[in-house]
Amino acid sequence: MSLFLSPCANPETCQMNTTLESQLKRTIRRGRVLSSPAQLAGYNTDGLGYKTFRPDAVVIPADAEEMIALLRESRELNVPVTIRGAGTSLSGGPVAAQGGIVVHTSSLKKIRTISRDGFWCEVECSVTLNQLDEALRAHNLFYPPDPSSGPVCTLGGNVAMNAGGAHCFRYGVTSNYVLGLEVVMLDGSVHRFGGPAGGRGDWHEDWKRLMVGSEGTLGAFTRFWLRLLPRPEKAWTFRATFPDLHSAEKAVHGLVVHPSFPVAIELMDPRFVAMVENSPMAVGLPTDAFLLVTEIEGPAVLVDARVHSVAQLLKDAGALEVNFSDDEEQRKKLWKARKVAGGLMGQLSPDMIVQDAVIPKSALAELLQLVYDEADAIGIPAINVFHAGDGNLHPNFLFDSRKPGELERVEAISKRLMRRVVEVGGTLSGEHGIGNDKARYMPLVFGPESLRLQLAVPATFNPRHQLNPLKVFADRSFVGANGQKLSLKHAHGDEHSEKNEAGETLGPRLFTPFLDTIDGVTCVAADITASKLDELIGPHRLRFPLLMDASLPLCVQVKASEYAPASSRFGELCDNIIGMNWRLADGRVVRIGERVVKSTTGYDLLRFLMHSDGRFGEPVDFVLRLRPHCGMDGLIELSGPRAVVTKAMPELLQSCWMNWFDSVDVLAESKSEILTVRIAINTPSDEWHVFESMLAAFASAQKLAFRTIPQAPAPIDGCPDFALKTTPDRAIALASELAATYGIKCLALCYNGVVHGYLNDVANAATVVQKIVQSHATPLHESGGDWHSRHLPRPAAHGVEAQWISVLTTEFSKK
Amino acid sequence: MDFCFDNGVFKEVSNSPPTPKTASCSTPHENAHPALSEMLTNCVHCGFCLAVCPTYQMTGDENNSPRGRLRLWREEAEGRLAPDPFTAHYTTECVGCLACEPACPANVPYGEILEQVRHQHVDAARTRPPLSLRFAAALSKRQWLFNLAMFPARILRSLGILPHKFLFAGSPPLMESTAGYAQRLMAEHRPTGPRVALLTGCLMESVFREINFATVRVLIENNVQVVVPPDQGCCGAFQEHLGLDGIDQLRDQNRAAFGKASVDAVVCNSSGCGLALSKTLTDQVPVRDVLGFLGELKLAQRTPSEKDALVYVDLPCHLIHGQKQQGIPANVLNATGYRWELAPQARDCCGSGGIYNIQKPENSQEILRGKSEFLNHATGSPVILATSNHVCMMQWNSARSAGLVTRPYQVKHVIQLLDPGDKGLRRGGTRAVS
Repeated sequence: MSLFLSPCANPETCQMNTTLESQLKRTIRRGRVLSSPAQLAGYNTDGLGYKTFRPDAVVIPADAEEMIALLRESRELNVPVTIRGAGTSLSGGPVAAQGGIVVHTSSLKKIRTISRDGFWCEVECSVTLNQLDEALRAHNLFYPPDPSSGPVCTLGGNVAMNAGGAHCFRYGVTSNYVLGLEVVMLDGSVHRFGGPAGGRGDWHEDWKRLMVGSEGTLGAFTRFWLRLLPRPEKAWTFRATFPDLHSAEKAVHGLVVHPSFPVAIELMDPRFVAMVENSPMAVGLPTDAFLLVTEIEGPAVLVDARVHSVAQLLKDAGALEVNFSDDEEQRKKLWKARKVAGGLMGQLSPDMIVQDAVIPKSALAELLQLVYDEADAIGIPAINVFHAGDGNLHPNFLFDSRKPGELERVEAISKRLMRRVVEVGGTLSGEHGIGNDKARYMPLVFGPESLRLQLAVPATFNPRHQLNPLKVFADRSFVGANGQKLSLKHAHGDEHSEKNEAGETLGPRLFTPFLDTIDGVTCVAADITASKLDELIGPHRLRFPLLMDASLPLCVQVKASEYAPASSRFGELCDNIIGMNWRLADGRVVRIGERVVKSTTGYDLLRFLMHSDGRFGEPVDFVLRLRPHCGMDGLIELSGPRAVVTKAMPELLQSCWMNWFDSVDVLAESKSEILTVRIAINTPSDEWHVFESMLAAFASAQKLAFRTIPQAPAPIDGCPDFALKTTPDRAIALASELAATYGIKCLALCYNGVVHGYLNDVANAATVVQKIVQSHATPLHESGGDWHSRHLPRPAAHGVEAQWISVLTTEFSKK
Repeated sequence: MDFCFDNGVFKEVSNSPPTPKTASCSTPHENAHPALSEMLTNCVHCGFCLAVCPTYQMTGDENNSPRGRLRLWREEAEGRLAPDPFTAHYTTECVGCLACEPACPANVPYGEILEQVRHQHVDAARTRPPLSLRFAAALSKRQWLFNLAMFPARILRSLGILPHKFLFAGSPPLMESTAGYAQRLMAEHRPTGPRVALLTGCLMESVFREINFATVRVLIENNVQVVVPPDQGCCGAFQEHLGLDGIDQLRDQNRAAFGKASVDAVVCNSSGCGLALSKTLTDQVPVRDVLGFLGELKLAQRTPSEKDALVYVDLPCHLIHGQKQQGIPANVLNATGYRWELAPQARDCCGSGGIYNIQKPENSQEILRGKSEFLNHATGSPVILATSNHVCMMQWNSARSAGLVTRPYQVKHVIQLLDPGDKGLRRGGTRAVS
């Protein structure tokens, strides 16, 4: 524990603080400036309670205006600035690692808009998850990312750390849900990247992608536009115990590919179970067993049809006992053992470190054993919780930092653990972020080349590392306006900070071709075609449903549109391509991203580069997230006059059935008044009739023609000639307008708000697209949307963006 | 509860008080109680308490939250922060609602820590409670003196004169004590069911005595025997809230008074006092909230005359967070015969905090503003706000004069809604057999 004395013990610091305080009070009139030693002590840590860093001042701005005014003064203030939400981060994030100012965003907590038809909401940065969920309930919507600190954590913190949660296996992480954000830069300039329509907005590059997960190092967020989903109607929770890891893993592997697509799969080790059962929170589990809790949710008819096959799966894997329920109270009881753990560990031990490694599931047994061996060797308790769906392992080490040397020993274990995690193909952080705590392990992941690419990002927006120094990368130390470097004396544990160890330079770590059937992940050449890919993965009952053309290379498709019809269910292409080997403009090939599906390790260059237009290089290989093939494909078509279809669609989209269709498109063709709704479904054959009857009933009620084509594969329309990104409530109208005006075929990807256009005469493509862009670009940009076309380059960047691109280009090309 | 990790299994060590984990590198503050510094290490800094803390929600200041306060107390206790006026300030900012306790996954005993720290601060003159409250606390040590001092308030209320925002309407008996009344009714009706002792409370008995009388009637109507130990005293909540000396004497007094009565339980009609008394009589006799106790019986059913009335039920913090009860039992509320529903945000603090609304009137009113807003649009004729704690009733009543609620509403104790009235009391007939 650091023995930090009050700053006023040192007259020099005291003087500095008084000046700082008066400077701040000139800017902050309506908000608060806290400067007494006690007030600063209250802000000296986040959720990683034993590591303390006392700031020199705390500011609570009254509103966004004051936050902007404060950042405008940052050069004058010449001290580090750390933005803080609720301070529940587990990685030493929103803490003043090099002193300076902590900016507490607690006043910005309004929910500004909820658009039911548009599936988006606009919230200020300090709205908490539970507060948002309460408000969304009334609209039958929900925001899926669900870190366990939901009652208190803020959206600002979630976006900064790219938070996950138990449900992200099914629904994805925060970066899949940020449609837009407003960020204040260090010079006080305010920019909006994206918006309700969830595209780039009026920018050349997709800067939003670098912002999500940037851990407060690039700018201060004021508000977000977030994507929402229809609320599931019903859930079943299952709790099972297993005699050994082998049977538990069998259950996990079965659940991961089960058609019911469990929303959460939590696995706890026997040490965890023993801890719970030997405490007042005991629930009557067999000790010495592995505990698994899982959940399925969706339309009542569908989940009720699936519950027994899930229970059977667990029994067949070798479960000692299986309990399941759909009753609210009972479900809480089934989750209880899992939920009490954190607090129980807090009661048992003064301090706790929880690691956040994501590993290939096949490496679980080895990593568990490593955790046990290391912890037993130094005699401290270790307990493992595994978000089994996406391979996110949380080893918890209980210790007492007041015992001499104990903290150091625990940190040494962590380092050895992280090294092994990276060696088996995993990554350092799946959801907690790097912060200050894990920055020391970054050299295990990033060699000199990759590190330079990563550091290019703060070089663009925060070159003197004034915002949140010492986070993410240990090299990021604050440099004052006069070039003065801050000594590291404020930093706790600076004697333990690691740089690249002598003689150990990490190589390029490029991905090599592989297929991991347990994780459902494969690495293939970027120019692979759909048919070739299917040859590789089909025999393993895996698929990559986001392909729109059988013969064009994947990289061409990625350029043509960021979405495929199946994005309705599985998200954008960039949510399904998790890693790349990337050839920079100068020909060097580097590794970007990971081979595990969840990562918050470093800046999200993956999505940024994938959405760039070739200036920064090209992909060489892709690591793809695959999906299980549930048994059969089928297509259902509903059709009717434009007015009837337009009126009917919102009801279908807003029902939780929408999450179970691979795609929901509306086809508008040329001058036809008829619109066709195409719903592609991939499901076990014995569930086909459930979908059929539901949609037949819907069609009948809405007076639409109904056509069912079981066994039909998902339609392949080919790469679109242009793609427009707007909000979901405008997509159908836009598609039919364009089809009618230009006599072309348009496909509205309803839930994603995307319109794909297919021109008749490709020779004239550029002219037609130009016309379309001219008439639609402005409203698209206003809502934060954008347009893509392989026939028309994006307009050149100008103003501040040109500067950013220039810095990035220079940094990328450094050797 | 102490556990050790032994060979892969957690084992309970012993039931004795935990040994302080004083490590060589820390220098505990001189005044730190060993058990206090131990309790302070439970906090894992997760922040779950921020979501339910009224002062954090109001100020957005981390220091003004349970986690923040615990951090300051720990920093001082372990010598890393010199005693700071702001620590004392944030300590007094705490309402003491205890909503943080059930929210805390690590079971930090915040209420106990707060009590000790408040006492330390007053001892060390870091906080000076206002003279008026210290005076009231001194008076509360002697029930007869308190009664005497509050007699004018009782008279004014009985005349329907309500000169103070905290004086809600009611008709308290002027001369007869609750003890005397209970004795009289017991002789008259001779109930045969379970036997309870009633805490009459300093404030309840001296100002709001009608609620004590109603309590006696409801119990007797439901065949419960009621005794009122005459030598009981204030539960000590005043002293506890303010950090004053003298709690021990009051606790000893009540241990003596209630220990003598052979009863199945001691019942209380104010949640704050019930909580304080339960800490006093821990190993002697169960202390129950009177409504919780009644909820286990088959109750006499009322039929109120106001058919269009709507009762909004608010749940006192010290009932649900302090005493850790689910709430006021539904069968008790149904027995009133009124249409009822939980008030919006029923589980959030009203801002009373015992004496908080006197110590920190601006904070208290700000908290009440959010809670009471709904009354402006509530349906029902009349609109009745019902709860089970007298200081909460006082706070709700003040919403009118503070201009937070601009339409008429009544403030009642739930027991009053069950009350058959002096004339209506009778045994047999609709009374349920216990």
